[in-house]
Amino acid sequence: MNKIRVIDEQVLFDESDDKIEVTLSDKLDIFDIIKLNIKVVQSTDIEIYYESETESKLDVIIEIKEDVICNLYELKKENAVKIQYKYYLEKNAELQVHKFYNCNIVKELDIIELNGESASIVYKFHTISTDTQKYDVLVYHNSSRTRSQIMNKGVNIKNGSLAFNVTGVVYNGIVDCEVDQNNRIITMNENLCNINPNLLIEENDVIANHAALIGKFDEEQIFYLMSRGIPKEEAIRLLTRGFLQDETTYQEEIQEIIDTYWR
Amino acid sequence: MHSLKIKDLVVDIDNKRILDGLNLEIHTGEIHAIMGPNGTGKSTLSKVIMGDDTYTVVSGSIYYDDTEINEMTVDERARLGIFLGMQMPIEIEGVTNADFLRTALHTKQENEFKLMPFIKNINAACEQLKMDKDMIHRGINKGFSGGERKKNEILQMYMLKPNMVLLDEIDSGLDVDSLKIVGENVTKYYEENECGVLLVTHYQRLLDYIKPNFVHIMMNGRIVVSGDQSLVQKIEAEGYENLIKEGDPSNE
Repeated sequence: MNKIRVIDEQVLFDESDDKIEVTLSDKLDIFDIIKLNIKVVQSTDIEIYYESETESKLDVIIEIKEDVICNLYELKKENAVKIQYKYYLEKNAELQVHKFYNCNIVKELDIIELNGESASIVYKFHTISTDTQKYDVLVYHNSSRTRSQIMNKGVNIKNGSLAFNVTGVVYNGIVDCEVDQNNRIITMNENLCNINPNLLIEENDVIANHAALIGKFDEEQIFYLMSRGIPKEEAIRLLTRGFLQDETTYQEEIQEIIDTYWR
Repeated sequence: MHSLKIKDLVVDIDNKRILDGLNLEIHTGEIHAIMGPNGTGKSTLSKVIMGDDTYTVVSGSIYYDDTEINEMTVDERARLGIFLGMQMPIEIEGVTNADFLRTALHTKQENEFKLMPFIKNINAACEQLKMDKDMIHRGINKGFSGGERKKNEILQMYMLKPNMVLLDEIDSGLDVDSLKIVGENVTKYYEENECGVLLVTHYQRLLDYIKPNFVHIMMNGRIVVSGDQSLVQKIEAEGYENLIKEGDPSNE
């Protein structure tokens, strides 16, 4: 297990098992961006915690070497963040990403490059949006038999607006790939929310799926909970918690946030 | 002693009349069964009593004891002691049965809620209904079969201890064994708690296990014939149409 904290643009290493190599660049003069490069050379888990009061700009590169299996857990509590991730996966590399954000303003670009044959990524992202948040996820299947499973879930509250733009790319000749994306937004205001699921597939020998949903909680579900004596606000709190806590490791953190916004 | 009284109830959905001047009175200690052809408003009645705002109450009143509950919210009606066992209980992702029932009981009992008796009671109810105890920690009705969903409704009834129980086609989708378990447990709950029961059903088979004191036939949004349990055999033998032709509209 490796534990890294990025606090107000300071990178701190709390725990390391020497299965990763980390390099950190100074801020670039023009763009004021910190670059964090993590090379995973043996199978391991990584936890990264980000916290910042001011706006932060980050560039994170994660390389997963051949045959390496990695679980990456990321928790972010920031006011405003501009961040770019690049994930490079070599042959037979497996990456599972679990991310949970409690931020106000976010602009994020995730570029996933499945470079080696049979590389795979499972990407599970959860966020509560209280301001403008926009996520662009690009998944390039650059080799045959690569698999991607992207799941984005967001709850939009207060003055939030939320956008997920997810694009899966498979070029001609890259065969036997699986491209899957599932994006869902529950919105509790009238602000604009967007999901743009794109599947740019040139090859025929591909399994590709996408599901997208933007809306409020199902009235039938609310009626069911209320019919057992649960007031409407409490029913929505239960549904929100259920929606966010499903398929995530950040149970306690989500509970804490729900208690903050719904109590 | 509690009562549920429905007086001259007229209900529409999308400008279509579903209930048309319905009258019914149920007291605790009584079991009423409502039968009738499809589309006569039987399920609508149970949902409207529970407060489903998909339907528009055009006129008439619903009373719980002497209080008109027309303007009460769904949760307020439930906390009065009204329970609706649904025909098609829905699945809710991520919210476990345990969390859901704990929240419901906590809301009802406030400071009197105790965790240990809750765990003991839910385990006992699972055993009684022959349900896997693991289902308590699964999402509400997630991956449940039709029979398991109906049993889950009865489990919730046992946990919430209502005094007016509405069961909307609780027998649909049940195999013979599950029907027996559900039927016997509803009767057991009724006997132990002396609640009032309103059963909406199509089939006599449920009434082999739950013996109604009153049987009503509904047609075109009204109760057109009422009688005792012998009416069930008549329905089986003669069908609704013949009975209604010769029937005496008890609702007037």
